[in-house]
This record gives sequence, C-alpha cells and structure tokens, in this order.
Amino acid sequence: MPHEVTPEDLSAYLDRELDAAALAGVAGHLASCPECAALLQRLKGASAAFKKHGLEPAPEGMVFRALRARRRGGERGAPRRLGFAFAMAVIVVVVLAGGVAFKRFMPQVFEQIQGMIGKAAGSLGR
Amino acid sequence: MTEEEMVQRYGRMVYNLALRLTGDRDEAADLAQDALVRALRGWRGFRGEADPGSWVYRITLNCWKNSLRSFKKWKVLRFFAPEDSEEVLSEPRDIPGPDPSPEQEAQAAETRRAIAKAMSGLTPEERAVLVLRELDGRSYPEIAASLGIPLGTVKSRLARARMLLAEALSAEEEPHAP
Repeated sequence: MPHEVTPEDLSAYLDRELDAAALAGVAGHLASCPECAALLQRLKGASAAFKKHGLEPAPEGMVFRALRARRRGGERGAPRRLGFAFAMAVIVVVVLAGGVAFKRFMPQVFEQIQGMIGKAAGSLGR
Repeated sequence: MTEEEMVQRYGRMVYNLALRLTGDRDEAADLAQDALVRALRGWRGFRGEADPGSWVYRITLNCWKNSLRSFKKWKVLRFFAPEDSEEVLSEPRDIPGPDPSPEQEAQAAETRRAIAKAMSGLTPEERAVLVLRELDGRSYPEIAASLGIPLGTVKSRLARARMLLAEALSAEEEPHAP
C-alpha cells in the first residue's frame, strides 16, 4: 500500500499539531495501514520514554546562585574571564622582565642566544 | 510572576535544554547559570509580549551560540585555561513512583542508555526541539518562536529525533526477545 503520510505527519498527529483536514487524512490512513499504525505506536513509545527518563535534575543551588549573581550585578563567567586575562597579563610581564634581567646579568649568554636566533631566522629566510 | 518565580519555574528546563545543547553536564551548568542571570537582568524590561518560557529559552540558545563563537575564537588560549478526539496522545511527563524494584531500576537504566545513544546521533538543535516538546510540553509555534526556526523545521526535527529514539529503544529490547 502506498503511504500517504510521512513520519513527520505521524509525529505531528501524535501531538495534535495538524489542521483538521490533515488530522482526518492521517486518521483515515492509519485505519487501513497496519504498518503506519505500528510506526505511530513506536513514536508514541519513544515520546513516553523520553518524558519519563529524559529529564535530569538541575545542579543543586543553581537557581540560588543565579539570584545571588543577579543581586551582585555580575555573572559567573565574568570573574573567570577577568581572572584569565589577569593571569595572561602577569605571564607577559614576567617574560619581559626575565628577558631584561637576563640581558643585564648574563650578557654573554644573552648574546649567544641572540646569535643562535639570528642564525635560525637567517636560514629560514633563504 | 516575580523574577524568583521565573527562575524557579524555568531553571530546571533551562538546565535540561543546556544539557542537550552542550552534551556535557559541567558546560550545561555554566551555560544555564549564564542564561538565568541574563534572564534575571532582562526581566524588568520584559513586558510580557512574548511567552516568558519562549523568551528564557531564546536567551539560553543565544548564550549557547555565543559560547560556541567564543570557543572557536579562544581555542588556542583555552589550552592554558582551567578546566479524546481532542486528547493529546503525548501526555505530560509521568512522575516516577517511589521505590522502584531492582528490575524496574535495571530496565530504567537500559532505557536511559538507549536514550543517550539516540541523543548522540542527533544534532544539538534536534535535541533542543525534543526537550522543549517532550519535557516542557511546548506547542510547535512556541518551539519555533523559542529557537527562531520555521514551523516545518520543528516538525521535521522532532520526527527525526523520535524516529532515532524509537530505533534505539527497539534495539535495546531486541536482545531480550526469545
């Protein structure tokens, strides 16, 4: 038997989200098509299973934390981003200060490293 | 509805939507938290022109999209960061009874495994449609408004999600057949 309805129609039929004419059309087809009637039952079972087992509890205190963050005028992500930016700034300052100190207190080693970098850069440029 | 009532009413659903979008509990907790704080900030300006649920879910979806963009942008830096005839056949979610037997527990665990398997085959957007329909009982137009997609897309995504779920559940039942 040719199927006049699609799984989308059956899914929408399950939710009564079809207009009256389409609803009657699907109901008529179901009465004469055991294959589609069986598929409807499977979709219904899938829907029921997800309703029963698909919902997970929210983390404890989530709503309270959101209300507290709102009252403080901030959000959870903001301090984290600020902290990350601060850590990156500290790393940059430490690296620059280390380079300056290295040049001042160990000038020979600094020049050797500088020369090696220059050589490497030169070989890349060829 | 006060802002406290709003977050109490939608908090759990926002978390579940976030969970199905991200597929990760920690990320979902962060995303839900951000979405709820944004919703609380905007609550005074919300004039009730739209359904509050659709509005909150839209915020959650936007937060998720922003987090995807920011993840792509900061991918390298994140390496260093810390870690009846009118009866609707699909009725509202059942409330589980108390003290299930060990057999019921085992069956429920198998069903949850089948659901998890089906979820991994769906896109985040398909999972979002499924959550809003099945867990919050949203109508198709409400889902379309929440996710900013056409009605036909709601219909096709939901059908695909249910088909995949049905397949996973059938596969789970097969080994037990005589």
